[in-house]
Amino acid sequence: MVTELKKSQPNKSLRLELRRALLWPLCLLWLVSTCGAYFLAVSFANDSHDHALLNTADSVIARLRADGSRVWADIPPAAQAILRHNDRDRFYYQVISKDGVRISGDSVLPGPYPNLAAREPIFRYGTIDGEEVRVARVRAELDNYSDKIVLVQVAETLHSRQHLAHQILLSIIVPQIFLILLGGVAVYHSISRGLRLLATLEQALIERTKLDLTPLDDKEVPLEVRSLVGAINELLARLRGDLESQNRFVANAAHQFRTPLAGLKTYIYYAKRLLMGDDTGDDPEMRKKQINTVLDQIDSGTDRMTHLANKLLSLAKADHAVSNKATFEAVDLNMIVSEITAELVVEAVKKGLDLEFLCSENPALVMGNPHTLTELAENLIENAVLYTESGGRVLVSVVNTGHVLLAVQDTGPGIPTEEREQVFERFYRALGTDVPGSGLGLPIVKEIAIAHKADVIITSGPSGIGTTVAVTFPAFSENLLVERRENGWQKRREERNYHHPGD
Amino acid sequence: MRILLAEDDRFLADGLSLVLKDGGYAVDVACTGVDAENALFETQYDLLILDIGLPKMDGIELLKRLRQRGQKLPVLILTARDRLEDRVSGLDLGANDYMTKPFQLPELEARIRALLRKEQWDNRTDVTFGPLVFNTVTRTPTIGGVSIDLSARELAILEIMIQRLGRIVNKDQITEVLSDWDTEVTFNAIGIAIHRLRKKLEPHGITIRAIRGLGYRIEEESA
Repeated sequence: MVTELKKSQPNKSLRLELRRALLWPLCLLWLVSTCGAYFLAVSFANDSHDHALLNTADSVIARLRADGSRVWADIPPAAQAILRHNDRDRFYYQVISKDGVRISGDSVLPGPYPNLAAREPIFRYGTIDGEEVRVARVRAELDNYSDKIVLVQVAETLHSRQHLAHQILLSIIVPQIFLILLGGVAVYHSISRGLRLLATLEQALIERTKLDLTPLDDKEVPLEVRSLVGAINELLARLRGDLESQNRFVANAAHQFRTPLAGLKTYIYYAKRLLMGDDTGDDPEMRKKQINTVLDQIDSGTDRMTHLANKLLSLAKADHAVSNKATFEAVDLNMIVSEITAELVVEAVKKGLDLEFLCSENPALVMGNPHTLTELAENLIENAVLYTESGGRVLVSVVNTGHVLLAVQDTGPGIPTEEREQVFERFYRALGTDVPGSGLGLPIVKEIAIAHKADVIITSGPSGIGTTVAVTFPAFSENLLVERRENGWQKRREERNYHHPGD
Repeated sequence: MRILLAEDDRFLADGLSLVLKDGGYAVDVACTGVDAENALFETQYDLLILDIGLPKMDGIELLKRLRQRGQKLPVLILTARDRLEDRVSGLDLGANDYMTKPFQLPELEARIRALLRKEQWDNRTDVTFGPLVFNTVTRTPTIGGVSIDLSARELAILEIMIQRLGRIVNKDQITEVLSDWDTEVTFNAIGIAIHRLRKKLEPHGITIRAIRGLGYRIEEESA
């Protein structure tokens, strides 16, 4: 279900993500600044035109003539033409008494604003012939007038101010639009450029052969991607290590198999030549003896190859055991180790070795596969017996101190500290090939130990003589025991009980 | 002809040296790279058969050092490594031939003969001395088309004599060629072998003359 959900979601596009994150705020900003600019433009245009309107009103006042109760504006027709018609707007004026009664001038103007006593000029909007106008009212004192005070109203249509507002607006908005577009393009390009750097990385990876595991060059990549490249390089390094050990394995395996095969072929060839016999009058008895020697050699060579094949198979089985934990059950390591030690005593006695087993006081229970654990113990003890010279001693012990420990201690030649890791590598032979052995014993041990989450540690024996291999198993969990009791443990116990009466 | 076999696998080394000794070569076996190098210091070998995976010093390293010292003896690499890179690097480092295990014995023997022929006989396949024709490919001496039956030791002595036609071969040189670490050939034994060889050759007008205090020389008997 979860995976289905994940599948249906398309991959996030970095480009889209950046575009979304950058362009929407930019557009919003543009909208806000446009509105702001519009209001500013209108208010600037009004301010300057109101000022001009006031000036015009003053000029009208300057032209006012009074004669007792009469007031009129003495504006010559030419001046009136200039006043009334600038290129866009129509102009109106009117003189009113302080009571709001028109004395002279245009009659179409809207009635005076209340608050007739105000000394300051008053601006407002009104309409003349359905057209919106701006009206300014100014108070003037006329000496020759009986009332002394008149109010002058001037009005003009709004075309000029609208025009100015538009112009201001345009001069702000157009560059802004360009700026935003430019910003968008710049963002788009820088994203593309950033992604292009990734594309070169991609190309470098595509062009690689599967064998080229050298690290990627992290100098060309953006800083942000460097950690990704670092991670890829780490992976490559791990693969490189794996490949190297794989190559070593193949080379060593080839050597381990082909050399004895070459030996076998050589002896067979020699035997054939002996049988064909050049008639140099060799003693037939002598020749028979020679052929027998060669046959013995062939026999021992075949044994060696058989041993090698068996070890390789058990390694393959151990490999399999790592992934198969279903066969695990509670096992007393004492049983397993004592059985296998008993089997190997014969070999040890033949070699003149002292092979000894010390079991733990309490049962040493571990969760594991009894067959592979037997194999582990067998390989360890076999190795110790094989590499320890006559007169030496091999001590096998199982200890239970919460953790179960299997230790095999010998008085053999020992393994140098620097080789203690390598001996777990398949086909690595610490002692060269003079001593018989497959080079697979310790790798099998390691593989089985890994399957059981156990640690294998090689140290020198007491007082630096020989080798001690210690396998430490994880603490035995009672829960696991309970869990398995019904099937594995109980069954095994029954089997034992069943077998014992027959012994 | 004395061959050093540097091979760490005793089983193969023993078998090979058995076969080669049977073919009339003197063979020493060295199990590690260091042993092989020491042997090369001490003894003048005619051929080195070299395994690459040697303990202590691997074959490639040994070969490098050998050539750096200016030792010119032919080297045949005999190894389980069959990758192209291994062959190329082995040959480039100065090996003269390369064979992978497992190998066919007749082929190995033929390659050994070829290497030695180049070295010792300047690639000639037949060397003629009077009525005697020595075939360096099969290592058989014939007179008038009939091969002369010789033991391995007699053959080795004849071979060294023909190689040094006209010159005197001293007993030390013969000992060097015939002996290996396992069998030291005494002057007495050489004398006996030469005596037998002489008896087989004299009916055909060829003799081996002992020159007192110096050694032996193969000569045509003036009738």
